[in-house]
Amino acid sequence: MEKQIIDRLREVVGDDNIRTTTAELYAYSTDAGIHRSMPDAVLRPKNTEEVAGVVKLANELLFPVVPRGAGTALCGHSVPVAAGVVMDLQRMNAIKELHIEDLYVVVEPGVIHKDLNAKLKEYGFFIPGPSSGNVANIGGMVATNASGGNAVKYGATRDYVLGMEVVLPTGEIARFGSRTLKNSAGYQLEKLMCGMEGTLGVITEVNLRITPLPEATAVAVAVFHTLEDAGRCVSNIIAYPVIPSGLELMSRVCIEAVNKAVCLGLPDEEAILLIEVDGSSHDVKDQIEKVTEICKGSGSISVDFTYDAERKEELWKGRKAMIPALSKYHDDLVTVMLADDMAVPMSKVPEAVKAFQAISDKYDIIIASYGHSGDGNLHTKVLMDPTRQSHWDQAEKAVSEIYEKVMELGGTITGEHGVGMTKAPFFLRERESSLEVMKVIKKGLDPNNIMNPYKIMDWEENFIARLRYHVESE
Amino acid sequence: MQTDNLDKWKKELVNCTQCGFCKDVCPIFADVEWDSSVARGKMALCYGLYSGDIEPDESVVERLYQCTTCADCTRRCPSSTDVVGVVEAVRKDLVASDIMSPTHRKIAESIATLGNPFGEDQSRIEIFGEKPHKAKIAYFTGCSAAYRNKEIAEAGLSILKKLGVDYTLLDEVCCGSVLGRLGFSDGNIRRQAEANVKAIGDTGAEIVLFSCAGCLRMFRKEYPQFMELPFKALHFIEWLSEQEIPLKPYGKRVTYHDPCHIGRHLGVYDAPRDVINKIPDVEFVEMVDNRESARCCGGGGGVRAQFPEISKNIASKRVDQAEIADVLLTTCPFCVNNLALGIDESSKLVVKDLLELVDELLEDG
Repeated sequence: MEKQIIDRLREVVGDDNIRTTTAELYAYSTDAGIHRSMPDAVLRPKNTEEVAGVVKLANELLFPVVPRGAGTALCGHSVPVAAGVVMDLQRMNAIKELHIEDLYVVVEPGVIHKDLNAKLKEYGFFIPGPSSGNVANIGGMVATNASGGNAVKYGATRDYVLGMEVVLPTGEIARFGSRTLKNSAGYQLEKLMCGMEGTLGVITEVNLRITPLPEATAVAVAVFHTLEDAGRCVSNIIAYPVIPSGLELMSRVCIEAVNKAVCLGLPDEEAILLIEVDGSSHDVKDQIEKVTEICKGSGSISVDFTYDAERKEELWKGRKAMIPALSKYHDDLVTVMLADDMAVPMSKVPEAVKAFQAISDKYDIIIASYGHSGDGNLHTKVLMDPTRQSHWDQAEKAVSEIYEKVMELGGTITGEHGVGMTKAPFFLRERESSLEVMKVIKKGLDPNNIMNPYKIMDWEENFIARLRYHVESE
Repeated sequence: MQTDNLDKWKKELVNCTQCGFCKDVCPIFADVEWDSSVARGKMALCYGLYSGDIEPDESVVERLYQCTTCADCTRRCPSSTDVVGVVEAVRKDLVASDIMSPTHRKIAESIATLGNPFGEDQSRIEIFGEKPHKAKIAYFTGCSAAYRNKEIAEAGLSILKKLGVDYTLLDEVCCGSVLGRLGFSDGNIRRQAEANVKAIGDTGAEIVLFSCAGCLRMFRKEYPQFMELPFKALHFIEWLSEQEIPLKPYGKRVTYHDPCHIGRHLGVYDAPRDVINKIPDVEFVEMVDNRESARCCGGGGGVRAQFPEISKNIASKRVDQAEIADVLLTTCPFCVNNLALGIDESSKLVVKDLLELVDELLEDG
């Protein structure tokens, strides 16, 4: 990038908020995914005017702008594949308005989910979010339509977006949506912006609906001899209907990994369900009775609910210990973010997990499956040495087959993390009939293709490309 | 630059998934705010140096020395990545490649020639006026309590005298912790270890007491890599927690700061609390972040020497948490020193080492 452009950017954001040093360019060349590409500069704007100033300049001088929140995206969303500037929005972190009586808040994109919930807790409210909520920014959550384990009951970020301010790719500042819980006024552009992954503009302010904190929660572990029993139990719970606030499945590889690494003494069985119910005290009591009965009727060996805070923490500990456990599963292997968040119809979860295991065996690669089975969302962790070409070759075949299976089961390749680069080739197949409309929208709003270019439907390479690892051929 | 040390950490370098969960706890990131400053950023830079993607220019080296080695990132890391191990490895490679700050070079030279990092020419024997002799218990004062916070070593000595313990001081030299944190080679640390183990051996001590968290960590975690230690290394407070100590009442509200190097690095959490609970009438309150999740004081890892402003800002945040008490206690002179710098002029909070309070309250004889 020419010095003249850097100087003009410097005028917009100030000396202290632009960096072109090796340390910054390299640190901002990746996110929590597998890709790397270096930007020309990193900027930290403080307000909408600065954001608009940068975007206008980019549209005039034709350089890419890649918005970034906490940088916790998992599929290369904030990797600057065509260089340009990475726009770090973490300084825009004000909770601007609280309207508890109207059930909404107005926040800047750099507000951390945890901080917003800490503020809302004072009033007895919250907004659900991803498991990275301690660091994830609201802007990124909106731009990827993020969600977490409680989505089965509370939905995803899109369900909470009422309105927003966006700097469009041409630099104009637009307002979409409303401050009301209901809104039937034409195209819901604020919803379109959820999941746009920075390709249609920079979100600079969001109006978010809030929801009351539950009065009580209870957690149980239900143990099953077979994955099918556990899967049937999930379907039976949902169809009863009981909508739990969490319904997590752990399959054998995960159970073994946890037991091996942290000696939690989880039952040596095929499947475990971790079930959380919440609501008023009366509701919770009622749900516990129903879920216990359903579990027993679905072949559960044991199910035991607890209200006790320490015991609940202990039960979740097994689930939380799983990822570190997997990273210690083998001396030479680490967890790599591939095929990480597929979703299938809930009744298909056991079939999906079985298929993933068969694929794992076929390619002799360890794939651990677990997930928020209550909403059909499955996570897999591929254990591999990311510096060896042969491992990538096997992983590529295995992941491709996993995605094939997911599509065959009527699922989607991404339930909560988004497309970015890593899932783009499969997204192009899954949403083939939507692509032309998406391209028209992108072209219309971003005629010069400056906003986070070559992502989602515009990614043209394989999913294993621009790797942040140096890979050795054997 | 050479990467002989980083090469040994390949698994950890790729174990970091760059998830960013460390942003929630990294004390440096909370102050610096750029993503290269957080643990994940440093892991990325280390990978860049290891793989040859980047060169160790000024911006990279600066960030790699902005780590207090508090290890809170590892606690928070979903993959338990040993960030401190990697950061110390890259620092070793930088030093081996003759890339180091003049401040750090001066510290290493002072340790090699004078036995302490402060450029002080008096020996411990001259400072305390006590010669080493045969005894069952030895007290390793450490450099900070000998040259900067002498009141802490004096409190330790006074306690031993009041309890009538047959103890000896040592002809000690710097434990080498600062060398290890800054990236000086194992050879440098081994030299310190050999001198200290010999000094202890000369006294025949079976138990060695430490008042500095960094020194104790060296004896428990690093020295055993070089040699077998024919004595038990205990923090003074660990030893006190097992003694009968008649203490006067103390009608104040106190809190306790877990030094990273005996907390997260060694797992010593109960002993200081046990000692505080021996004090009649004391009101003990925990800070929001305590034990395994205690926030760093900001002083460690060479940060204080090279980046005093960052160090002070981190201390201020920790001290803010302690404003629930009248007295902020800790068990490391380095933490005492740094936390004191973080206290606002308008605050009435007092920082002291737990040894000082015990000495103040301990009945004589």
